Amino acid sequence: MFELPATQNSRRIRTIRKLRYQYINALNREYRKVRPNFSPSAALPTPENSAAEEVSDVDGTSASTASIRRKRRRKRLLTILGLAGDSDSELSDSALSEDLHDVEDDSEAHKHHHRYHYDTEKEFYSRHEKPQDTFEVWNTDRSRASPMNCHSMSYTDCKRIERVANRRVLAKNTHLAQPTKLSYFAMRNGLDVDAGPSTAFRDIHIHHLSELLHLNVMDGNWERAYKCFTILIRLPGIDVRSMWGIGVRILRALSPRDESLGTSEEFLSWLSGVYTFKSNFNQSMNFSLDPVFRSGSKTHAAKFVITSLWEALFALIAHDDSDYTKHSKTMDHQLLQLIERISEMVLVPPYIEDPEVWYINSICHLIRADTLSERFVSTDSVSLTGLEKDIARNQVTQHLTHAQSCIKTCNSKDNGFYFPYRSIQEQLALFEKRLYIGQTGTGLPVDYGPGGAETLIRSPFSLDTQGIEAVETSSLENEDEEDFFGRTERVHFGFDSDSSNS
Amino acid sequence: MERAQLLPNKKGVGVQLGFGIRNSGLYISTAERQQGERGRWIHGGVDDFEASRDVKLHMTSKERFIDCSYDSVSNLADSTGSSEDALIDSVSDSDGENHTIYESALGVQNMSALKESGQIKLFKNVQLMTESSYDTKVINPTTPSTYVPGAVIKNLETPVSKGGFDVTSTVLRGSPLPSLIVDPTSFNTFNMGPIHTTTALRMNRDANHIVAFASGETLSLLNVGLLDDRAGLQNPDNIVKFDLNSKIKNIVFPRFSAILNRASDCFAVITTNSLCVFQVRSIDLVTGFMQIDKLEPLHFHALEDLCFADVSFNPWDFNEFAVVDVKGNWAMGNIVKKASRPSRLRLSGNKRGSVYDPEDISSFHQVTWGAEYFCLILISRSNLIELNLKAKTELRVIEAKSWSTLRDFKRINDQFCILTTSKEIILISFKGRDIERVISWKHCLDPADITFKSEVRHVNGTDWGSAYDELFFVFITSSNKPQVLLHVFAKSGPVFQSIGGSSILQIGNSKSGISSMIAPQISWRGNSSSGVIDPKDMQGFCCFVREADSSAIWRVQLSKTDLPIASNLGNANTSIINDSADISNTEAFENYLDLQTTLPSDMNDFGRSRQEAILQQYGYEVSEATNKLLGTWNQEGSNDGDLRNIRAYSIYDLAPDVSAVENMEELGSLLQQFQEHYQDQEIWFGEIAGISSLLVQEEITDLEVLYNKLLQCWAFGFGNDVSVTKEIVKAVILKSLGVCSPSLISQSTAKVYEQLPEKDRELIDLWEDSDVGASEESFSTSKNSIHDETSQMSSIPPSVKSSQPKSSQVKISGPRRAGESYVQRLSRAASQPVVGRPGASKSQGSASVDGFTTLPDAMTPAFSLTSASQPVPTLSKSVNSRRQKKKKKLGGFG
Repeated sequence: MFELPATQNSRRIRTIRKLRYQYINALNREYRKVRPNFSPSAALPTPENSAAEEVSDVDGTSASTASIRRKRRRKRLLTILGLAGDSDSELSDSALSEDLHDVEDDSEAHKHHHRYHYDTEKEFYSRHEKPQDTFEVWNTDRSRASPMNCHSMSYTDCKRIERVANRRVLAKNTHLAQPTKLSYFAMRNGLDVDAGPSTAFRDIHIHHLSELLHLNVMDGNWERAYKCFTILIRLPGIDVRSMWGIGVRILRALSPRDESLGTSEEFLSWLSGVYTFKSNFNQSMNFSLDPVFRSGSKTHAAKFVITSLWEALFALIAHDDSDYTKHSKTMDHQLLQLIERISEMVLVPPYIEDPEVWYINSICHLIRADTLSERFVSTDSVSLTGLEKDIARNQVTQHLTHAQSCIKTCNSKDNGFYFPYRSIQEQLALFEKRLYIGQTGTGLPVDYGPGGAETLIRSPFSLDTQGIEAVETSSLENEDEEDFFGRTERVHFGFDSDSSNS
Repeated sequence: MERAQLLPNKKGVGVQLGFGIRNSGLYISTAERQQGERGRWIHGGVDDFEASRDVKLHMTSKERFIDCSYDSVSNLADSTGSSEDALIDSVSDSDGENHTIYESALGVQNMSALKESGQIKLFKNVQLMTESSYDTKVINPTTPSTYVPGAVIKNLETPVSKGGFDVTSTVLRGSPLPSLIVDPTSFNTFNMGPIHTTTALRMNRDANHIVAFASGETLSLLNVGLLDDRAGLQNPDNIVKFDLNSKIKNIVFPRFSAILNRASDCFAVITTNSLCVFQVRSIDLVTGFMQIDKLEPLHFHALEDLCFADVSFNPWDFNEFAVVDVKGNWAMGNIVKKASRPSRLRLSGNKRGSVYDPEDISSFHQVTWGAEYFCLILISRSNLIELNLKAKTELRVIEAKSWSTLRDFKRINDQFCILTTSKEIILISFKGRDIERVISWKHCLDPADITFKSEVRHVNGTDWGSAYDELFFVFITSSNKPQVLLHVFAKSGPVFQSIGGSSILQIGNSKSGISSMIAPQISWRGNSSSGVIDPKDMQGFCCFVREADSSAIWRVQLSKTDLPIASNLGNANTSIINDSADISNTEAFENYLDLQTTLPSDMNDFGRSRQEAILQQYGYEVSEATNKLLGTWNQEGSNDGDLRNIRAYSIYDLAPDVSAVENMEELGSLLQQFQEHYQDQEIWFGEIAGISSLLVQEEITDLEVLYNKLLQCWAFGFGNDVSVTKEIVKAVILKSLGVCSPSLISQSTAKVYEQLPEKDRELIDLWEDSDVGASEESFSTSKNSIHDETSQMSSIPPSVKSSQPKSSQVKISGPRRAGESYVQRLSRAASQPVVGRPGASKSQGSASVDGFTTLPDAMTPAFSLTSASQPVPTLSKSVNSRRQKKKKKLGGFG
């Protein structure tokens, strides 16, 4: 019932796949003859694509030379990437498995077509972009709509191209097992075919375990789910990355109760430490597993890395208010560590281009500004001497500036990122306001309790000068944070003091 | 720019969640937080316990809504008599109909048509019914029965009996084909929706809900019935039937935009050869009788001669509809009404086009209206395309060709839709300048399963008693599995969140998959007859489920789980089941779980006097509990009322564990005394011989002997062997020996027998005639023998085992008793894996061991084997077997 963390591969499944893509390619070719201007989505002219075409254009007769050339190309690619000896990398892994495919295909009866399966699928995918962020290619921009195709496809046209395509496929596959043939016929007639589960013992074992795992997770039987999870990830052929989400969920439920287990954050940071993000996602390669939730590449920040950042952040600020003041010291330290980690991350791809990481970065600064500026409104503020106050103010301002600049970077990235810009600006403005409460509102009562902040939000208009009101409106207008920050200039003590503080 | 989702998200990706992923938080600053908010974050995926408990559903009742298995030609003929008007309507309209069955070039489709319901009967010759009265009205009245072409019969060796009505697992040449072949165009053979007749509109009445479903062996009969205000059929006799003479593939009810606040008066049916629209003329609310017109069907040649796959009605225009065929050709159409002539269907000449994609070979296609009246959404397995008829543009919103394929699409309201792909559930907003992928959840279901269908129930959050404004319950069903996956999205203001993880709903005890599930968007009054809406009923809703294998449609009441579930703590959520038969199962299960999975640790050494005191205390507790039990049994026996509480109690149930047993013989004698003490009461005891025969394949009545034998088997040479064995023997004995009251059982048997319907009673009578005398007898003898055995140890007839009379008793006493014995059996069976399988200690034959029962407790293990009655009583053999054990052990632990 549930998704398996491994791919099932049997000869039957492979043959059905092969037939499917052969048929689709043949159909596509025939259709282009009928409608020459048809291009559902023009392939992107990337180097990988052209490489794929080159490979797929190679004639079947010179198979050996082609394979040598392919291997050479792969080797070169690996050396370029600096991963030549690294067997752990995505690329060599899949390369190996593909080689394996070829070998297996060779062993099948159709010697002279032995590379066909590989090529047809590749030919199909060379026309399509393989998305990394989502399972499908999403095109949500209405302005990119194309003119409507008002010509309907007639029955005769349809049947003709299908007939020709079918003839081509059958000519290539003279010997087919009866069940495969039936599946192919069903597929050709528009029915959906489920090739059925693999009956290999190992697959059945994995199947049972993953069923148990999912059912127990859904029932909340975390101990049993944990047991299944631990067994499953130790089985050969299972990639822990295809099921890390469940692992995180189980650990999140179990680790507070069981001291001996690591926390989910630890698990996530282990994942992000162990699995590389430096590999290239090769569009011309046929990966058996999707990268969406599973892996990262130079162009796609792995989901577990992003989750690890978020979870680290959630864990920092998850305590209740009472705990919070107690833990504020350790929290501060951890937050600074996180900020440091992110600022290192954003120096290299894919994170430098990922707006979400920048957003998290800005949120980190925002939280720190929040906690620091809170001192100004809490009762402790009386203990701050003039110098301490200045230093603290300087810190807050710095974090505010960082948060602003991160948000700006986040907005500047190509692939749009949406967040409640206005409310974040309002929050930043509020934190800044806190700094000057003692100064401007001289009559401010010092016994501002913890509940005093509520009045704070509403009071500043009566307390403060018009300056803050202007800040408020500027943030409402959402426009120029330049202006907003121009105002903060007056309290800048310079950026360099950051190092001395932390 | 106005966007539906407030939480931070990437364009075109949205908030992308799954198990363990609750990304995209909004930070609530310290100031705002103190205004009474709970957390410091607004997560994308809410994972806290309260929130997910709020939306946990469980099934409270499952009733048979209707069973259409009896529909056949004869029934149809009957119904001609009863509701003649309806049939005449259908007949008069179908005069000009072309009755050739749409036949594809492929055998599989034919075979999928064969497999409609249950076992098929093959016949080589088809005799058309020659009754002359039919000739004039219906051209080919025999279509509801199965016609199998000769070619298929040749191929088909064994008749197929398993699978759904649109799922074919083909058997060819005797070898089972592992592939599943599914016709994706046969989508909904059962649907329901609101119908507003013109008179109802004029009288300002609310819409009536009607149900339409396909039945018959080839699913060619359309049944239309009226639902009453408690979600039952108004009058099951007044179901209007139409024979459409070809397989019904899809039934569609128009859903109008909520702002119009009204419903249509028609619904559409797609068969294998045409599109039929039915118009409800009038509904008699008292009798449930409906007058329904069948408009002249629209044949496929009106578009491009390809089968229609889906039809949809314009939510803002009552007469406009759109069709799409299996290759993606689409066209708009109208229901044309001209003054005198009857309404007919017409396809527009210029509002048509194609989204044919040669790379998409599945014939699955769906069409719905988008967020505006000029927007159409076309869905195929690999594309989701939005057509703008005003600007004449098309936008390929989704292209799913690499990692996933689209499975189902449900429009919730004018803004939101839910798309189910093979990997995710995605909530999409179609309103606004751009299409927005709002939130998605990776559902972890098998992506290879091609039979997913989804159903969405949209609930107002305040009615539900939830903190969120709106809740979207998404159900995913599959024709292969009886379970339903439930996931909940919530909307509060501009924030969309996913609540908890997914959960699995088990719809009853059915084994077959679910072919369609309908969750009507209205709340019925529920089962309360008072007419007042119970607030409890508001926190639940009604679903209708059609199973893939059977013809029955079930009504399932789902409601919020109110129980204080400690599901964080593990297995407590099994307590929801309220079927009495199931309770015993769960108990057995829990007994099973109770067993220790680790070896007991070494016991403290107790002094002899202390030991005696403990045993005495224990004996006292056991007898105390037994007395109490006897009291309740007597009471129950006398008041004759509730006999539900019949079950066997193990000694372990009666009193908690005895902490330390130094001497097994003492414990054995304790048990023996216990039996002797109560033997004059009407109590049936379990006995040691039963367990011993399971464990060592020998009937041993003395605990000490059994213990010594087991010790011999389990001696691994560790220091604490003795105490471990003692503990295990003790646990096994205490958990599997027990008492129950046979008099109560006979009483309840009689009672159950009385409650049985006549038909079943006859069956039981037949049974008893042949069997019951013997079993009664054996039961009484065995009962005597137990008592005999306890009094005069040496005269047991060795052939009588304690389990025999019980099992024969089970046969007569009906399901409840069967459940109990199942408990015992299970608990016995369950106790085995813990103690290990003493396979090597298999002795030769089950000879009587009477002689040993009185042996002193100082007997050595080896000595116990040198029995006079055993043919090969050698010490060396036992040593050998021990050695073998050791070798095995090495293998096992090394």
